[in-house]
Amino acid sequence: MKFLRWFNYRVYKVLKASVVSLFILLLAFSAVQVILRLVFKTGIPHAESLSRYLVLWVSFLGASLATFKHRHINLDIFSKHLKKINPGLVTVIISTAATVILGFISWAGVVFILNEMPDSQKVYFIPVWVMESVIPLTFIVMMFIYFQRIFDGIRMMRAAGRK
Amino acid sequence: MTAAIIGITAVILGVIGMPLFLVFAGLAVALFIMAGIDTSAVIIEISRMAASPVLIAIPLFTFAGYLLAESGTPARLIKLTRALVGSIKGGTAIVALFVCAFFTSFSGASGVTIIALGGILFPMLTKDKYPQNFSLGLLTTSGSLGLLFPPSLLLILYGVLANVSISKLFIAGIIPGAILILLMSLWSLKQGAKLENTEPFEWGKLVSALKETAWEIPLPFVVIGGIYSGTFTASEAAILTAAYAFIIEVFIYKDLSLTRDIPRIIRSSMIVVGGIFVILGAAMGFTNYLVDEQVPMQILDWLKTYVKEKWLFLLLLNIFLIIVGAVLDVFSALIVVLPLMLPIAREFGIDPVHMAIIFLANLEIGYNAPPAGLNLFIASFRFRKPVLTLAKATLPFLAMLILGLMLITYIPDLSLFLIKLFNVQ
Repeated sequence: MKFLRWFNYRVYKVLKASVVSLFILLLAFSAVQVILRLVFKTGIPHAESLSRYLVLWVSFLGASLATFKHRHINLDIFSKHLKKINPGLVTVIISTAATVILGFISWAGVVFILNEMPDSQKVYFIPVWVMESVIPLTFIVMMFIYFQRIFDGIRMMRAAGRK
Repeated sequence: MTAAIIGITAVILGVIGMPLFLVFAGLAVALFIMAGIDTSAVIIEISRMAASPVLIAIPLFTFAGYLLAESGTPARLIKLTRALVGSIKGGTAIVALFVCAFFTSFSGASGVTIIALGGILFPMLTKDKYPQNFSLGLLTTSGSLGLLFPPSLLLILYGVLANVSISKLFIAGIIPGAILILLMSLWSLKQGAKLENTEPFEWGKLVSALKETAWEIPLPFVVIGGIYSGTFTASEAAILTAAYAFIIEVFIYKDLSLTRDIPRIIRSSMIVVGGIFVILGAAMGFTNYLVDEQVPMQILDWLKTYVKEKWLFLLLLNIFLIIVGAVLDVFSALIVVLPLMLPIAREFGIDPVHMAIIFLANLEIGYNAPPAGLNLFIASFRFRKPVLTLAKATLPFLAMLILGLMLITYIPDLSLFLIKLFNVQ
């Protein structure tokens, strides 16, 4: 458990820095491309493809951060009341279901990338499958976060039981 | 039977608070496995989504919206609109409506308008002696006002999902959006007429406020003017808006620190964008399954046995969408329901652009509708008031918005007139 917590914390730190760096790259690169097109009637080759993949990376890494920060959109009409009754149980149920679902999606993502690898095109020198690998990567990170939360939930239930 | 169990489990998990993207992803995976389809089809949907060139507009406009909301822009815009309409009874309320609409059009109805502006506008309305319920209702409903104006994220998402020109959608929302603001302004003027809270109009104040906002005023005109003059696309408008907002707020106004504020704003805005994108990906997997299974056609066949007239269909559509908007967030509602409703609306002869405006106007209302409209919860958190108090406070404003919705629904030209006038493609 300690290792999982330490691992997730390191991932969180890396994600925070990556989102900011990639977004700045996206904004700067796209702005230069637009200025080149509007002012100098020219452009950078493959610029649109690169921007699209940067958007994919920035948004999916942002989604991972949303999981760390409990900021995903959900219906919290009943959950607030349920959490007052038994916060640990709700966390365990949601986290277990989430871990299973994310396990399936992560696997589907890995299969997708493996299928893409052989005939993958390149944007500059980077194969497209590398650009797309952020999809399974995000789901794997999320799976680990929810996996950790199962144990957090059990601990909360035990603490509530002791009271 | 198995499908029913999967559906019920998904609803239970959704209700107890599981993130909606996981609910949709779980449904998609389970249904694909049941149908013997490879689950990597869900990932293919997500990668297809990434291929849409318009999507770049979403993170960049969201960033610009967050940047503006966190800077001194709200205070400067309030000062300007107050200088313009502060001499009118009810002017402060109109200031609140306009400023909220401006920010929501940039940041989407992600709650940032209520969170960022509520703290400035609520004390202002209280100081001017507006009744508390009126102020709460006004600010809660204003949290989604502006969804029909460019560069609304929901208009962009609609364009991506329904394959409709973003330029058409941006211009189509202007008159209907203005009607909604006008109706809410009329109600505010009626309330404001009872108060003695005006301040005399002074040219000096107006000129000073104009000078202060000189760098911000061009923003909406850059977006709209640039797109409709054909100078740049919606995506390029987003890039320029984000770059421009960044330069003016960091280097000209110096409201935000490059090292302290910008990384935090990037992370906050990308968390919202990430949340939207994973819902988009997961829900597209789920709805595409439903579309492949001919669910819209089955709904249409069933509907046609009871509903023959277009006006009745539109009425039922409005009721259905308000309910959807009240129980789901706007993004999930749009992504899940639109692919199912679009073919049906087409069968009833509804223009896809008109449909977009009806759809979003409904979600704008559903966002404030009791018992579960998201704005009520965001406002409850922001103003520390019970949801029930806010639900009651929003009722007069909801009545105004529903009146506007009826006009938008039954007069298609309100949405289509500008497209025809300017021959937008």
